[in-house]
Amino acid sequence: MVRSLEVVKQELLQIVDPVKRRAFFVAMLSEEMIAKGVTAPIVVGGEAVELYTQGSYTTGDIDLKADFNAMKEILLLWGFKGAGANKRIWASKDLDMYVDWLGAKLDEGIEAETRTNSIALDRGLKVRILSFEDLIIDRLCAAKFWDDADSEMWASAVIEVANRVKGLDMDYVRKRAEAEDVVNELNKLIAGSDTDNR
Amino acid sequence: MEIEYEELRRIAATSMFERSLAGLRPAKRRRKPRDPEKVQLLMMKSRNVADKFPPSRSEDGALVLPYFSRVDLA
Repeated sequence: MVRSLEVVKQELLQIVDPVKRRAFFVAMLSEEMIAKGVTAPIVVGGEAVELYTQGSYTTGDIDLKADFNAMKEILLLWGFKGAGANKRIWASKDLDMYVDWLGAKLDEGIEAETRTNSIALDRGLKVRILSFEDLIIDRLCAAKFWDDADSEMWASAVIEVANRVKGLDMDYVRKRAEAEDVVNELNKLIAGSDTDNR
Repeated sequence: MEIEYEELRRIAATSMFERSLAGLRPAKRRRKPRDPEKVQLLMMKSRNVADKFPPSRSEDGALVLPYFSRVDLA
């Protein structure tokens, strides 16, 4: 049975730090979605940077790739309201939580789905998250194509975190950089970092 | 003027909720480049957090980010 809104409120609103609160919210949503027989949602975008940098970067909403119907069913039960033409935005005033649904599958493809990481939280809860490699490329794309001045810096921060867990597959990063036309941006980033996985 | 923090938080949360439902979401991109010192400061913050909460992997391959392993209660 899905946790009730009251239970979710009780669990989340006692967490003071909004960064931790968002992480535990996604973990609870993931647990409920898995119980419904679908795969766990994948955290992408700014929320993925927030999680990997453990709150150094902060975001206001949660970018998710998820099975829409299962997610919607749970969010409605938890008091969320959907907005936008295709109900992309889900907002809860009670929980002070904002979900941006970006589709069911990763744009990066099947391989990216197999490379996702799992973050183990307290109480056995887990969050599925875009791989370090695909997030780095995502940020480089944001820097190049969206003209987002900050994204290159956060790509660099994600590289540093990945290096600490020896988790960076540079062959895959380069392959993805070529596919997304951000090779020059990647080379510039590597030249300015201590990446030891060249 | 003195503003009570909880009141400010309540107003901000209401505004965020209403703007989200109206499709007015905050811009996620920054067009103005930060100055190099600010970039350095943010990178230093990120490194310090990773030093204080060193990431690792558990036996089953899950990523352990210690910042999230302890929940601060109110």
